[in-house]
Amino acid sequence: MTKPTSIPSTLRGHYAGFVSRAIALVLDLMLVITFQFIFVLVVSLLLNFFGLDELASAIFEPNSGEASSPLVTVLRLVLSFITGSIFLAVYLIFFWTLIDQSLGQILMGLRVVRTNGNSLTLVPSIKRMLGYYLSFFALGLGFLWVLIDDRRQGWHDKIADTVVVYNWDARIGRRMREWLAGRETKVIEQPKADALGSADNTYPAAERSGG
Amino acid sequence: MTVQNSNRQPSEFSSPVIVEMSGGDELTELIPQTTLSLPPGLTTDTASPADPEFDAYLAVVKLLLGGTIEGAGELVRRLEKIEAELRASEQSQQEPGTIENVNDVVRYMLVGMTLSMSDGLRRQAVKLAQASDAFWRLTGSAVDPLVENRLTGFFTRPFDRAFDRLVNRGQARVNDWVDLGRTHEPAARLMARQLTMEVIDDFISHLSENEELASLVQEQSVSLATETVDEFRSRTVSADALAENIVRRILRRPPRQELPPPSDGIMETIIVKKGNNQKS
Repeated sequence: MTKPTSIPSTLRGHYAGFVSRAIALVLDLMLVITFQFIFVLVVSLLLNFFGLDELASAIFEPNSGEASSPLVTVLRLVLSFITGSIFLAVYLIFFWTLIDQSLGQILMGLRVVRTNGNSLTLVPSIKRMLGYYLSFFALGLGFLWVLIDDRRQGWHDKIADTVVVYNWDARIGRRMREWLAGRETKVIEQPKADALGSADNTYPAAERSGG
Repeated sequence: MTVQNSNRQPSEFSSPVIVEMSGGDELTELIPQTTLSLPPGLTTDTASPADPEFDAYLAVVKLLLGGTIEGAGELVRRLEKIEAELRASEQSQQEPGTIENVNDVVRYMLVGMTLSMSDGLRRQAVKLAQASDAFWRLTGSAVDPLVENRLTGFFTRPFDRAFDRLVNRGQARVNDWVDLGRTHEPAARLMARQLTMEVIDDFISHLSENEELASLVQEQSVSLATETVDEFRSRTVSADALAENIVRRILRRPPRQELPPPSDGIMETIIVKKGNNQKS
């Protein structure tokens, strides 16, 4: 016997998945890199304007001059990574604290909230940012954790006690719905694990078929 | 009408010739002297020109002439370009048209006849001009000894003088026309070109100043952008579900049966914020 599967009309407020969050993060990274590039350009121009050409060259042109060596190059790369990380941290913490969303998340219709629904404050935002570094240095495992976690939380979410939810009337695309509808007849009813979900929370049937 | 420098050849002119028009000239005669009165209550929208010397009739004629010249020039340029493109492309070597019924035969015949006639007429005209030239040279050389002598000259000289005067007057009139054309042709072309550009500019500015049109374009743009973003987001939501499904399958974890519902606090926060946004 097949159980009728209902796809929620809107996923607003539901936990956001890995792809949406990854795209939002990539957009944020692109924004920060662009800002960093502009910042370096402005600083370089300022140094040149005040006659500090050698200093500007030593800082921003690692492969020119006699001082260039592998160690110096690595140091400069590390310095640039740290600078970029600081920019990213300041940017994300600022926006999370202010409006619970970064610009990339605004574009993707996502919002970061505490698990109890409260808005983010400064401390959870800092914790979440530190969690980002932890997730990153663990070969990205902390980010990939979103794919298998029940509430789609990464390590950084668990550290800061936050979740990321859809902040728009999210819906599954037409093709996906058709694909799911096409596989609906193969669904075999399974006992429900718990009574958490109403009909609106029922997940697409295809994922129940197990292949 | 008196024309300065009328005895000089057109090629000698370095600057436009000043033409002075007398009151009894043909051009002024063409301007209607009587004014037509409109019925009471009807007024024309045409404002009286600021320049008292403005001649509307002459301006329109100049505009028509300039437009014709400019249009013809543009048409020739475009035709030349199209012909060159056709010659360069492979289309010029395409197969001849097919004949499927009698109508096709008649159509092809008419086209062929027209082309053949136009070419033939051109060649015949050239031949006629050459024949005429040869005839006059032949007859002139034969008749000259008879005409150019003292006896006949006594009778023909008055006619010759009268004929010369006639020719001179005709030549002077032709020179006047040439000078007039030389004077006004650049201005006429410029007028036609400027009027075209101004009409196009006015049309574009009218479109841009039209609030309804602007709001329509704006709404369409916003709607299109919103739809694009929504579509992109929808695809990522689908990709979220798909990626999760694939990873769970790889890890041999049971597929997710239900989306875990968000807590009541989260739903309240999101819904309240949505309500606030809609109010604002």
